[in-house]
Amino acid sequence: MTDEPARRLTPEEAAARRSRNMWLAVVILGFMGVVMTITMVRLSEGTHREAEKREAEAANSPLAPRPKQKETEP
Amino acid sequence: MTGAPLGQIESKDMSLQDINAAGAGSISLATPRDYLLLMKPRIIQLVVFTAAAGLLAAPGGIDPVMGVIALLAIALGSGAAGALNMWYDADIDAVMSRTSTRPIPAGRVPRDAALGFGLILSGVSVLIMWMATNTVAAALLALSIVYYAGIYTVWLKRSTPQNIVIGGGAGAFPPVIGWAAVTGGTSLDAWILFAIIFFWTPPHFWALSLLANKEYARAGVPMLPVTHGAQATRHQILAYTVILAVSAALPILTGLGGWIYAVVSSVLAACFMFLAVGVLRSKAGEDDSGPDDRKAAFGLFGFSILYLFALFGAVIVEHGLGLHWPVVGA
Repeated sequence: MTDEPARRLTPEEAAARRSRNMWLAVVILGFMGVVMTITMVRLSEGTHREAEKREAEAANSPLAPRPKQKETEP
Repeated sequence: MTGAPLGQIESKDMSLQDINAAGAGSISLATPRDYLLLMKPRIIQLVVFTAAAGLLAAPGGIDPVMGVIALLAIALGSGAAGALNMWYDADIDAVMSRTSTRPIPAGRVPRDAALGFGLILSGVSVLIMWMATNTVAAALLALSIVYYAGIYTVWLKRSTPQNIVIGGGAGAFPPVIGWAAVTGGTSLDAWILFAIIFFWTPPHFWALSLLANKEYARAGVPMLPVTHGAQATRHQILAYTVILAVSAALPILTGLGGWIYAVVSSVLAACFMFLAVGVLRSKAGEDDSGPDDRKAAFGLFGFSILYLFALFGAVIVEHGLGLHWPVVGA
């Protein structure tokens, strides 16, 4: 701990610091937004891929409903 | 103008201690705009534009949101490299009138703050690229930052007149990174785009250095006009312009460039060549050069910026708007 009294900021110094802090907050929020956006896109890509995989598996399954054969007249 | 041997060039620089001491013990008056200027926003524009060309020309596709985020990461990476360059070059920036108003030599941003800013931004840009795209694109982005801040700024710039030639590789990475962001790898076409910027850089910078050779000499930067003289530089400008014209024609042969690109690149190459011959025939960079000689060099410098925007603009228009009709193999 130091005994030196804290120096009062000049109005210019205070304004510059306030401006820097405000922009730092904007940048941090922007970074959070970018990370969140990446996560959302990745999740939606994963969901789509999973759905496609399930559809493909279902189509190849022996239990899958077969297309109806045309009824021929006797 | 005769060239001076490397050993004789001594910087009358404001020492780094002076610059560091200038900001010591006071609260910084730096504004966010100063930090934006540290990132060299004009270079970022060109970097993002060329990266977008690589991104759009690459086969396959990328989610548009991820594409925008990849471009943001490239912009941040370029800004990080710019900040690290300004941190290291603060002493020579202070000597040259063109760069003396930059945030560090002007005393607005402390040198250490610029270093911290550059390092944090480097990490964040690579992290975002890796999260949004893939490891190859992130690794190439990291490599391009190291290339510009380490290989060019720290090593080459003050040690060899080939600084711009080899260092040009740093600015040539963006289209390859854009390509890798989409495909997860690189290809011949991506490296052709790299080659175009690589061979564009020397005539672009040497045209500028013909106008500022005395300042470079005063700062102790061994630019070609300082070490080998103006005439040798004007010859080199023309030689690299020819190589550039050949490289810019390669996309037509590989199919990357279609009819629009072929027309645009041919017209641009002819104009570039015309201006380079004009510089060769001028006395730009000589002690007895007149306004017309300086105008010739400045004209080439200005046109070279337009050249790169227009050439990569043609790639963007063809691949981004679906107007790509190949000349070869159609």
